[in-house]
Amino acid sequence: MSYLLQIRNLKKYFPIYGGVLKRTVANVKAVDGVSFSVEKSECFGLVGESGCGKTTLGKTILRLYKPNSGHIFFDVPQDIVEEISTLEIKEPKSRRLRRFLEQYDVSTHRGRDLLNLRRKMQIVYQDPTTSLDSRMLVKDIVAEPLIAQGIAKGEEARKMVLEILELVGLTDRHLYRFPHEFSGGQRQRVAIARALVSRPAFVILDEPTSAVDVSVRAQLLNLFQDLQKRLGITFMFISHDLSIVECISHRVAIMYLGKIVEYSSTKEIFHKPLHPYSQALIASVPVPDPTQRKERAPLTGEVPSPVNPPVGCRFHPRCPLAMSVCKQKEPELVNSGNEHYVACFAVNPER
Amino acid sequence: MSQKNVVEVQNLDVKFYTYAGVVEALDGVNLTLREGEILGLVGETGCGKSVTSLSILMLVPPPGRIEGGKIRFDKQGGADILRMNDASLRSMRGKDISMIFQEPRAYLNPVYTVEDQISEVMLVHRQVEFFSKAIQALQARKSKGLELNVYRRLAKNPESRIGGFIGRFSRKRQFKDEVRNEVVRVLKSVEIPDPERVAHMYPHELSGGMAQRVVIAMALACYPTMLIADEPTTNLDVTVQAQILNLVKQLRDNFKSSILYITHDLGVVAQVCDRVAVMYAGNVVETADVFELFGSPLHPYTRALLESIPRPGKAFKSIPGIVPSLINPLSGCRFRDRCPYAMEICLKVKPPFDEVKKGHFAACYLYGGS
Repeated sequence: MSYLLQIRNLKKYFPIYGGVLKRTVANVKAVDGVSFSVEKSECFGLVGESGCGKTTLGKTILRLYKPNSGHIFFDVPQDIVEEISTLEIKEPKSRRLRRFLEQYDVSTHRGRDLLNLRRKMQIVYQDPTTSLDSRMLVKDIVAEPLIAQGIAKGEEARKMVLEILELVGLTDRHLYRFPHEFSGGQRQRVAIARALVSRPAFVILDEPTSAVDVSVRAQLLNLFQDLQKRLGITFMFISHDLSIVECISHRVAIMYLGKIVEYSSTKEIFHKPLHPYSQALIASVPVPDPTQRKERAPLTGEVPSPVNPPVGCRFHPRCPLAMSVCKQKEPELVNSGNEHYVACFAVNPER
Repeated sequence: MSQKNVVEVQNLDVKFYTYAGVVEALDGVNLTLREGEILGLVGETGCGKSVTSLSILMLVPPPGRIEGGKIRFDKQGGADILRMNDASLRSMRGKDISMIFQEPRAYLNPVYTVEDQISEVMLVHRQVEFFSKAIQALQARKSKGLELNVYRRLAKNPESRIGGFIGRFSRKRQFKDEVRNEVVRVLKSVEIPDPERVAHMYPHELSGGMAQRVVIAMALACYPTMLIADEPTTNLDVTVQAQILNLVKQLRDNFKSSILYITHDLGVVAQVCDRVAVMYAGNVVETADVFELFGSPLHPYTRALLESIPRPGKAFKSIPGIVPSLINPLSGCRFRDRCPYAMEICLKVKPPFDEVKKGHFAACYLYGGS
């Protein structure tokens, strides 16, 4: 199995300025030590409540934000990643490690390296009404990545635009239209075409279906599956709608307050969730079947502030299984068999 | 469950006169809400769910106009809401029928505290009750003087000029205490932790779930007979949504209110509703008991909607075509261009809304009616 994207201990803090001198008084720990790997041509689901750092994580991977620390390896051979991690432990200050990181770690890239990266990684945002420029024609919106990247222009760009529009289910009739002339589903298709026109290997879908209706949602999800089969793109699907994630993803990670608490294959997560938060989250989804009614809400309270996350396990104030060790130590993601990673002391007792 | 109807909507027509043309937002909508039930109103964006609920409160914004139909309201002796005068409408809104809106943040005033906003509804409808409570409390303490006198005058006639004038100089402390107690009690009933503290907060200090609870508390401040909930959980997380849904069910059990629950999420409908009405392009196309509707849906649109729910291991099914524009809508059945069973007759005449089985209504020629 080869990995396209490997994230190691990624952190992104947003400073809060205060006082007369506007010094940093605190940090919003949006993403706080996240590690995972995405395989080639899979759909990786990222689930969590609002404010848990899903979107920040996505944007940091794309380097729309600069991470505070951690590594992002994009399309790097496995042996180099392994060598870097051994070097980090053995000789953290060696020149060899620094050179390796400059060459392969996306989090250190600048300038031209970053520009080249944009061609390979793209994003589709939640709301196409705000992510598309309302004063540009569809042909210009979709052609813009080609021109910005210097891939093509003029007649050649036009050809590529048409090709990609047909791929997402639009035709040449739609070329000379403005975004407001489309319905919600079609508008999202334009946004998808724009993301795919530079033929990226990796696309982040940030809640792409939450702004559209139930019937249109199914059309878009079919489109994603179809595109993945045809082009072999790797998707990262960020969503808070668990029922969609269950249907479209191959593997799923569940995030809580800037940390991944559990990740595994979709089947494992939805049929055998181990972390108490994942269990509660999955139990909260309203089942469209009146014969399976739930009488009690599985979780009480709300997500705490990421400025001062609880010490120890971040879920312990709401956790039904909380023990004394959870208040002191932070559990690590441990493989509990069958490639099922969980960060919980109740599942992996401390040795 | 009793069969008394709290609200009956009959043949409601609403049109919006826009520059682009006349939008026929509602076209002969029929709906009944029974006592103590939760009725789900389901449909896609722009199908007229919200307009239906706004018409019940006579709040349809211009350029919309209610063109015809009847809304019988049981509490007011079966009076037609559409023909009420402004004064009786005002006494009805918030007291007999109240509404919970989709976005709690937009609905709360950012410059007033939670207590101010909840007490506003109470002071409009339940002022006299608070005066008499304050009188009782003062008499129990055997206190005499200006304050008691003011309350006596105002309790007799809240509009009293003398009472109001003197009331300006007395601090009405007891009255304010009574109101505060009631606000705290209402906040407690929607399960807000530490209600005394929350009462002094401003909306920006509340999280999304809390803000929604405050809005629900506001709607419940006067024990309404009917509650309209317009997508109250759409912007909330699943875990908070589960909490709010439980709260809605408890409200029905504790206060015996009838609830009209508007949503597009079929999962939510299955979890909380007793009966369901499905809307499409300004028409109610099917009404049935929730078990009946999910078990054996009749109308092709309902079936397609139920099939479009994503289920693992199956391909995603969508409804072909798009929701039609309501400017110059289709003649006959409005669903016919997306319907796999469309017949000749669907083209010409609008299908009647008939009772196919007991308590199961559908507007479709597949089930008789010609």
